[in-house]
Amino acid sequence: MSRPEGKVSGALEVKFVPDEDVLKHIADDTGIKVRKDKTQLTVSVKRFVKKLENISDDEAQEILQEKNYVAALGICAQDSMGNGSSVSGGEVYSFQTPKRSTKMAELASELAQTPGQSVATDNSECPEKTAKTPQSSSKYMFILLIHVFSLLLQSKRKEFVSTTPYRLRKRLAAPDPYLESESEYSASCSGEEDEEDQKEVSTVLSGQKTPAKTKAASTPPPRNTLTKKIKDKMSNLVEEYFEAHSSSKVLTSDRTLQKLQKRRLNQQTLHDLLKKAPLAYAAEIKELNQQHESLFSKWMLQLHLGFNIVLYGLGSKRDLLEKFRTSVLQDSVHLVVNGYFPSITVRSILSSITEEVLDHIGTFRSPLDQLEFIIKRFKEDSSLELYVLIHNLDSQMLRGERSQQILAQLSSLPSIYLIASIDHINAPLMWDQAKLSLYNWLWYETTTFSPYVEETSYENSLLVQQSGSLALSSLTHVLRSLTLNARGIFRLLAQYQLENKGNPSYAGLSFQDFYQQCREAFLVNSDLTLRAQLTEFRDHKLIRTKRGADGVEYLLIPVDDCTLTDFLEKEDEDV
Amino acid sequence: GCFVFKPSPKKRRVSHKTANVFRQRDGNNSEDTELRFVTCQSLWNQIKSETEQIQEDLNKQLFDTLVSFLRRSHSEFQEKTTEWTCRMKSREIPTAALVLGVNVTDHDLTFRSLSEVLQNNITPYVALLEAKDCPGIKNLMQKLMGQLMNCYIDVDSLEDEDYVQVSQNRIRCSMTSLISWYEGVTMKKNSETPSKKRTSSSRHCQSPPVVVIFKDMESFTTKVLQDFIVISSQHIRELPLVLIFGIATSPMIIHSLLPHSVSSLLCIELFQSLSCKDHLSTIIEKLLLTAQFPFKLGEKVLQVLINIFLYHDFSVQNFIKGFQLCIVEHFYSQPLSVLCCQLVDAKKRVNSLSHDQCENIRRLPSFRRYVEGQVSEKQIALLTADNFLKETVQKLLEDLHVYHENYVPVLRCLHVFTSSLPKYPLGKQIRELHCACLENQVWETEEYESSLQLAR
Repeated sequence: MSRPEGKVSGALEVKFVPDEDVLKHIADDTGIKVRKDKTQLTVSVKRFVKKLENISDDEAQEILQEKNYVAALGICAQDSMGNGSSVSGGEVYSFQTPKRSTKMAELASELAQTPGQSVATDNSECPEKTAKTPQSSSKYMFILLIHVFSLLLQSKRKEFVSTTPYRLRKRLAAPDPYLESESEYSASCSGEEDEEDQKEVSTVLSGQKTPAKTKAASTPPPRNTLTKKIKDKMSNLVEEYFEAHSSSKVLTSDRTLQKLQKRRLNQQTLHDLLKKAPLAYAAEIKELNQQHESLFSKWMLQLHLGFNIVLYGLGSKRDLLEKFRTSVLQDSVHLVVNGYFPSITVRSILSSITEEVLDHIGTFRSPLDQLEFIIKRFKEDSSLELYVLIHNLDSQMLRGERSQQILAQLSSLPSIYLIASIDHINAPLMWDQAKLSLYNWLWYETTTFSPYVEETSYENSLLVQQSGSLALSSLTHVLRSLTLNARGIFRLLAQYQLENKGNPSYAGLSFQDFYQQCREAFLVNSDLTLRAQLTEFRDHKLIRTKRGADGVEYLLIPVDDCTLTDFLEKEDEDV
Repeated sequence: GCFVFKPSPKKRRVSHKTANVFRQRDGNNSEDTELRFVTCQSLWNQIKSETEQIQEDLNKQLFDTLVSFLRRSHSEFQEKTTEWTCRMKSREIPTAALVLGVNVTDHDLTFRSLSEVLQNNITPYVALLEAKDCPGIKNLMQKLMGQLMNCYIDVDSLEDEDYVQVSQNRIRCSMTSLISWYEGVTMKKNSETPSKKRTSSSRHCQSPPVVVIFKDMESFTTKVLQDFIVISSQHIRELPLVLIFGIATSPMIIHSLLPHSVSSLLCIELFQSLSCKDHLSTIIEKLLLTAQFPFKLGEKVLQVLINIFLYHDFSVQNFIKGFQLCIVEHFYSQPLSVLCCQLVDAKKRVNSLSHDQCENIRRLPSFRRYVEGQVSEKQIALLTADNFLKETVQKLLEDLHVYHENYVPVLRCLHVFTSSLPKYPLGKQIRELHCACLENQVWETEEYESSLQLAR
């Protein structure tokens, strides 16, 4: 258990003990500590502890006991004051830090509370039941705080068990009208006490605050005037902890690009805007690049010694490789492969080797045959040398197992020197032991922080308006060439689809229903005419048909809803 | 996405030589870099041949047993016994299950030397199959036949053009064609004049078995393996086939991969290759714990290499590659590495050191420490007079050499003393002891104390 004294002195000691031990410990501890000052009180307290130990879960009996206890408390308080001992409330208050089992928590808090209470309240008055309840709840806060600390410390051990007693929680959850006044009270009370106690009280307050949050804010947030006054690092930590873990459900931001008021840009404007943005840390990045460039001759040496080089790290490594190529490889045959190119295949890499490097005219049945041919040629002619630069070896098209196998075999040739870059964080998972040994990589971390402009030029940016405008114009163009009836048919389908746009399980309009609707609108007169029209649509890829599980044909317009709405609006304008 | 860049023919000159690349770094003292490169290459070549020799020695026993197994396997076939038991047995394909361990990357080398050994001793007909080449039974047969027929040509290199002309692609890939090919080959050999081909026939017996090696048995698809085994067991009487499975995990895998009906067609004998840990120990002992090679690994580097081995891949090849990288890096980045050679050469090279190199020596932390321990006149002489410095360095190099020569036997003695102690305070393996010695003064460590206590 954590003791506040220890906390203050800096030597924090935490021990986790079973409930029985806690019980024993508290019984002993209170007994010993209190005995020092007032023996009489000890006797009564101890007796009471013994009594409480035997408490059954029977609620009625407990109440009875509590009443007894209140009576005993009154006597105790009076006794202590009667003794005229100068026991400061905080002294006893501070060493009482029990936790775990509800009974124990309750009992201990009540025990701890007595002197503090007697200091604050009028000495001659016996605390009454009504006065006691709110105070004990503030004590529960204190106990909870202890739990918070123990949890915090426990969290380091990665085992997270909420040890807050269930009953405590229940009580906390219930709105307590006295709670606020009580917290205020304890704050004012602590002002008179020494610094040690102040800290405790402040943590009590924060402890009070945090459970209130966790319990779905059933209790109003307490005024934390004191917390502001005393900046305790520990309490901040507690707050932060609960802030981070307060709500179980994780809220993701719904500020999506969809909600952006601004219209999406087209590719060109985006490009221009990005160009205008200044490059941050230009000087540092340049220095970094120069560091990388100083490695060029080393790379060459290592390539020649049978290693291959792979570059990893944040930022586009294209410029670096390009510089390597222009500065070192000018006088030798080399092959540059842009892995980020969306239609790159291993086959095209192999073909460019066979056709352009080896000047072989002819085709191969499979990439394996082609590879075999290349291997044979390179083994026969030792004067043949080829540098292969692959940008983004881990790109979509090349990351497959077979492609990597072929590339690995290629790179294992002693006269083919491979230097490649990877960007995906899991890219090394592409290679198993066999491939790794074929590749024989040397890894170089070349973080450049430069933007992936070239590499992503084939991708669509989220900021750019997608090809919706194109679909819309094609829609209107096709529709314009059709008859009025056909347009009506398409309209019907589009409207139906928009009506159902919120429905995720919407499969499409079934053919029979559609036919019925069209008939009712006097658009078609027979099943066959409708089918003829649909064929026309299908040829222009305006609709798609799907067969449902029941064998019924469902019709769907494969265009997103926004475009469809735009289309209908435009149609309305035209009409 | 692919662009080939060819240098213009005018500019095309002799392609980069490794030495040139090495030299490019610092042109001013090129004579030293040249020397450094030569030293580096010769050292690496020595080490490489040494490791290959070690591997060969270690594999020798395994290969011997394998060879005797193969000799035995088809003796019945050659004797053409018609006994009933033999006929029953003859449905079974003799199979060697070669358990090699998880260090897949090392297997390649093992198999290569194995097939070499087999071709020299048993049979010219060895085919190496890999799972990645054989997605289907058809590819497997094609690959197999291609290798067998090629190797026939390679081995005998006779002028019978008719065999060469038959392109492997045009032959229908089937067991029957394989058998007819085999019959043709053996018939031919038997009919040859005995005097002429005596040498080769004595090496290979009359009808040599056809050995098919499955390099990575686990990665083959079950279907392909099953089909191949069933088909070839049908023809085992005509074609003396022997299978060798390379297994990385455990021999049980054969039974889990193949159903009983198929595995009963195999007559399996188990062979265990030596463990990669033993291999590494031998390598370390022969490469590092010897005064033969002037290049030594520091504590941290050695620890990293060993850790990669133990916790990552168990690959001896990777260990050697790492070692190679260390050598290259050392020679590339340290100008003074020119002295990293045999003592006799090193002394000569010290004499011919340039002034810059002398300055390099003076900048060495270890040399500074040495200077600080000297009297002041000597300090001045060491720091100013190149000739005096060279003499001293020669002496120091000699001391270092003596130290290394003494170090290894003493280390071995210490290892013998401590390796049998309970709880192994100084490590079970000699490499652990070596690392401890490199780390700091071993006699000051607690472990040393405790092992002394235990030894008493």
